[in-house]
Amino acid sequence: MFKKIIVLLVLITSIVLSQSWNDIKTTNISLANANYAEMFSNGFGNNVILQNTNGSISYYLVNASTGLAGNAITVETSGASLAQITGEAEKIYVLFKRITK
Amino acid sequence: MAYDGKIHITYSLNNIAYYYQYNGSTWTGSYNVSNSGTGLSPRIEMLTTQSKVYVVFNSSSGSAKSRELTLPSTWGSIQTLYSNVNQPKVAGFGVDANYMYLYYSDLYNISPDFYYTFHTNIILKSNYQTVSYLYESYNYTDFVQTTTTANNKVHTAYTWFGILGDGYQTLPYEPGLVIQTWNNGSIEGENVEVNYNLEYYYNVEVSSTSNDIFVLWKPQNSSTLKYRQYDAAPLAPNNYAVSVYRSETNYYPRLSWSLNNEPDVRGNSSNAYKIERRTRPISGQWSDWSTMANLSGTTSSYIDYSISNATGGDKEAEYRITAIDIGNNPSPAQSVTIEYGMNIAEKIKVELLVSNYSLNQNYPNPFNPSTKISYSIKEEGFVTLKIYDILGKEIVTLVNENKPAGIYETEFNASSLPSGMYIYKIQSGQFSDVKKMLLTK
Repeated sequence: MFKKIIVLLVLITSIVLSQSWNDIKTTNISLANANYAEMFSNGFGNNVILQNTNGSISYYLVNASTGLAGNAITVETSGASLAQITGEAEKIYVLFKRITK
Repeated sequence: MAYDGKIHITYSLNNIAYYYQYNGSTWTGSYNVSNSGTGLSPRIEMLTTQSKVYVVFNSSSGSAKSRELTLPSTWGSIQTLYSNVNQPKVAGFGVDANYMYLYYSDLYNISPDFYYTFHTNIILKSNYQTVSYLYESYNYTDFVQTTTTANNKVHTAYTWFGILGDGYQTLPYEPGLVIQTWNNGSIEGENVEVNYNLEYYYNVEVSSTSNDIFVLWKPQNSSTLKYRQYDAAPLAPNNYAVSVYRSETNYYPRLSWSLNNEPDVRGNSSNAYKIERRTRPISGQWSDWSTMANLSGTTSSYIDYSISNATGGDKEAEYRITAIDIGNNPSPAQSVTIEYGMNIAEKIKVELLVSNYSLNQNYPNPFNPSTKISYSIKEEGFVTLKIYDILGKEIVTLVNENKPAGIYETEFNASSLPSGMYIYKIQSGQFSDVKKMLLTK
């Protein structure tokens, strides 16, 4: 009986301890030419957009485990501001204000 | 901006807070949320949860107010969350099932001293009354980000930095980036230092999927974004079910489920879904669990070809599924069962025949000295079949046991009984029937 209790405690402890903060990851996304970044997380990973200083919007999908992003996708090439991102499990939406061309 | 099947936005125009929603094709639901103008730092924050949209904004009178939209279009009245504080700034808010957590900063400024205080009000959503509060003096934090996880906890990310002015100099305190967790109106544990590096943090973003939390920020001395995850156990897979997969003349159990929303489950390429199985004869002893498969996080079905003739029979299989993330955290298990062992054509035939309970006339009748009595049972249950004489005296019990659904026949031998009329009676669950038979010697 005593052995069973010990085993149970070890199991519970290992499950609880395994839920924790992972190490800090440095991404490969630079904010040097951006006003700000916004993030929305779903099943694909962390979806990040940059509102760039030149009025463009860039999108990155950041791997949740490595912190590394794939190649940037340009959402808008110019004239954009106030970009925000939201979505659901399978979709993302980027909303921004655009200067009328 | 927020999303819950529709996109919801708020914006400020001429110092008034407005709302719109977008259903994928048209913008509708335009609404003046604040009625009158917003106040200092016309900050408008919005969150959605449980078919409601919550909007919080600074009012022009130096207070913070909120308004609640019950979807699709019923707006509540404007609620005052606080008032009479010094130059308040709404920093953000979070919501769970019962509470709203409102963050704001205000300024104590009586020359030569000044300092900021960072407040948290815990507000009961049912009546918008503040039930408790926290504050941190000397902390000038005017922006927080919150996320509500699947377990109904609200997690707030904010940068902590103190500024104290004594009239001659400004004294910065140690900065930090922390996560604070609220659990149904109470703070849970101590704040977690997401990063402790004696630097300032910018562009803090927090987001979540299921119970995983993700924090993104730009450090003071680098333009490269950094990132950290709270790695919680995944949720149990949704919509887990078993059906039958037909291949030529055989039928196999087919398991299906919805993919987990945690990215570290979907990104788990080799053992994201663990399928286990145990079997037994109906009502018998279960075997030990055995692992059938370890599948990738993008797989949502599995066919067990090692079990034939699924859907019916005298055996039963139970299948257990567990989602596992890259950090090796397991979800709670889900189980489904299926009977097997009977050819599906036979099963359909039996089901068609046994569509109801019945007690048939014995054959032959009259009889000497034996006869056969047939009956059908619609559902598994305890069955009794007894013989009585014409005076109601019990003669013999022919059946007295649990039986699965089916058609049965039993023989009655009356060689030791005298001639005469006899009665037989069946009972199973709510079903009961009686018939007569004649013994002639």
